[in-house]
Amino acid sequence: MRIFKILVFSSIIGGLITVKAHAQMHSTDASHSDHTITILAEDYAFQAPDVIPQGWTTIEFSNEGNEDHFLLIAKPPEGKTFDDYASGVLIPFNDVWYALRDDGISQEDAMGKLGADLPEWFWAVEFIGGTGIIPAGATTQITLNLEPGSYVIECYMKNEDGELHNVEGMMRELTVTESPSEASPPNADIAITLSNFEMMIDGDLKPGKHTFSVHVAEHPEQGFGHNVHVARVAPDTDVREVQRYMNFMEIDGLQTPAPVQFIGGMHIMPQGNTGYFTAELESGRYLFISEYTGHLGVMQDVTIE
Amino acid sequence: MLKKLFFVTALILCCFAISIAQTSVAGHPVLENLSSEPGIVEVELTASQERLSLVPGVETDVYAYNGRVPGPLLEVSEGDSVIVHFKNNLPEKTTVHWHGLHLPFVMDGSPFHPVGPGETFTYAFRIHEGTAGTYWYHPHPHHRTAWQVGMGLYGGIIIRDHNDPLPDTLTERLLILSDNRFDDDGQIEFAETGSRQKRVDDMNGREGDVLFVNDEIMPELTIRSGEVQRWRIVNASGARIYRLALEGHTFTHVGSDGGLFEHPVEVDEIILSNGERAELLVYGTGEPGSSITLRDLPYDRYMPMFRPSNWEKTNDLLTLLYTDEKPVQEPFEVPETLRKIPELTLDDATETRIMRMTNGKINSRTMDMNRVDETAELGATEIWDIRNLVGMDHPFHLHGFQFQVIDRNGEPVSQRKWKDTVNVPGFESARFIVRYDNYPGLWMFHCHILDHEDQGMMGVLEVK
Repeated sequence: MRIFKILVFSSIIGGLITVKAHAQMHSTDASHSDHTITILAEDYAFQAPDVIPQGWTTIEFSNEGNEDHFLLIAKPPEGKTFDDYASGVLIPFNDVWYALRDDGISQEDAMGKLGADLPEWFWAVEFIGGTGIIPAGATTQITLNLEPGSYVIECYMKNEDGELHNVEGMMRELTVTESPSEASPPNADIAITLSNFEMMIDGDLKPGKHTFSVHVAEHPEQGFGHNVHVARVAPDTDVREVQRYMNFMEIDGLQTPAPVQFIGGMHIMPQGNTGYFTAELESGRYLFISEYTGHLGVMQDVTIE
Repeated sequence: MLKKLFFVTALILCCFAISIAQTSVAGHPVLENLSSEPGIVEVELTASQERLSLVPGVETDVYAYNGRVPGPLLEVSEGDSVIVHFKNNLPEKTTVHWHGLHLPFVMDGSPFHPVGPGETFTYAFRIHEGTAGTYWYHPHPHHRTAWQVGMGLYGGIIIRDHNDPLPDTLTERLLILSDNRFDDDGQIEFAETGSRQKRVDDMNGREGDVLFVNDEIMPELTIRSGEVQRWRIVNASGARIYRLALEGHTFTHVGSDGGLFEHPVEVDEIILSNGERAELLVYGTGEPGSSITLRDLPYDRYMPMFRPSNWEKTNDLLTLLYTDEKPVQEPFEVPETLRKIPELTLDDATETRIMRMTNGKINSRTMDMNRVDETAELGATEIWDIRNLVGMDHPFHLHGFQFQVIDRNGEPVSQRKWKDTVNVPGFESARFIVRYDNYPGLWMFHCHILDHEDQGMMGVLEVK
């Protein structure tokens, strides 16, 4: 199948760039016309509104659980429901995960099985964005332009028992109505551009709170595409270990506890879209890493002074 | 007499004969009352391993109360003092939880008061006025409830009102619904730890493909054309939620967990979640000699990814045969008002407790016997806001105190009812109001899908 070819190159580490971000860009602007909703994550469910207006939407995402969580927003194709998504998509993913975990099949075989088991309409699912991983007790903000429709929000990290959070219950329907909001996007002081296969970070990365814009210039033809998770890492952290952790097909991949401290980011968006997230940085070393394509070079290893 | 009643919490009986049911009420053998004193119901109850024929032609190893599955009926009246001499002849600890009854903490049969193998315990409590209704008893040991109930430990309770608005001339039936799963040797099957089936059972709760009404599969009951019968129904299944309908007939729904409603309600079907009870009037509107079927209609209570492939199957539960007798000419008419239920008013509520239910957890916690999750004052009136944050039903049960559901998803409910279990479907919410009368203690609240309860989807309310 066409999927996951990218993922099988798990040993490839390309385009790894260590930079010291250069100065310039805008200041953080938190005063943009506001349309904010709150989504709370816990083990293992979301507390969220059921219906919201369309348009630029800031999501304040708080992790009130005891494990790491993120938020991914998926838009099933026309005619497919939350129920279709839960049963048609999650079951194949969970089956593949069990085959990996319990039966010891290879990741390559798992990808083949997944490709065979997923419904054809899965390839028309749009991933609209979401947060990067945040730890228990943390809060982050993202801003996305949401069009009317029915969405699924989910988290597919794994708990300590090795069960996927979404299968445990961490998925929910979110309906965006035709009713418009008056909100506008925030002004970002740091711009991230994702492409094949690099991550450009433009702005003055210094200690303090930042608003990041994330623009997806292009996605690879195969695979899920690019996103950004931001992790604070120790000076001696092996980047390959973090890359390995980001692969959910690894037995301990995306499983609590994480080997590093994540502070948010932006999940997969459609090609051409721009979204925003906030994060507070301190002095030290950070990885900006794409979950599926980080090992192909879509990442940055940044030291903030 | 009262001294005797309340002094026996640690009484150990040296001689313990199994009580043999003498009479039959509502289709069930009744626990023999050993007391001749008015207002005292004194019975013996023993849990033991037995080998019984649950499925015709097959002997199955079970756990049983007084050698029966279900256990014999405890029949009492409002105002009675009840003494239950319980003996645990099981190879493991157990308790007897008197589901829905308002009684002292130490008599609740909660996980805090296990009765060890070979030990005895005497449960003693009073039946309060206004509590007439249908209840049930079952074990409640921590982490072992689903197993023990699945093995056969459950039985019915009827509390009678001396001034029951429904006449005792109505034929009364107690239908205890359960389901079970058997292996090829006819033994009760539980999924093996680590198996895929165990994962499904952990999520859905363990359902069986063999459905029982009392101790029978598809029993045949009779009714006379024109007759009205009073059915009391208990959902004793560990996980299955029943959507009950009687083909071609409506029910008059007259009561639920804590007894009769204020007003009867005509319904086509009822949904009965785990632990819940219903009282129905069944009108024999069919022709003499005909028959109809009580059915369990499809009900989607599942997470979409764990929904069984056969969930849309209708299950037949029993056959109701019309006798050949001529129709009864003067059918009974149900009173428009059955009783007055005292109102618990929102103005009196001093606290709102929010319960966020996820799969296996309440408020992000699993049960810890050494932790008190909620604390309240004796006599206080409070609101509980039960929020189901996941995509499957979770029936929420509070021990010790009957409550009144106020609203569901913000919509007020149609009438006051006494409840001890409220089913909250996926992503929905329900609020109830409760007053902690009479009894301080550590009271459990939990999901009544027994596998969830065992996983720790349970907490402790301390009333003091």
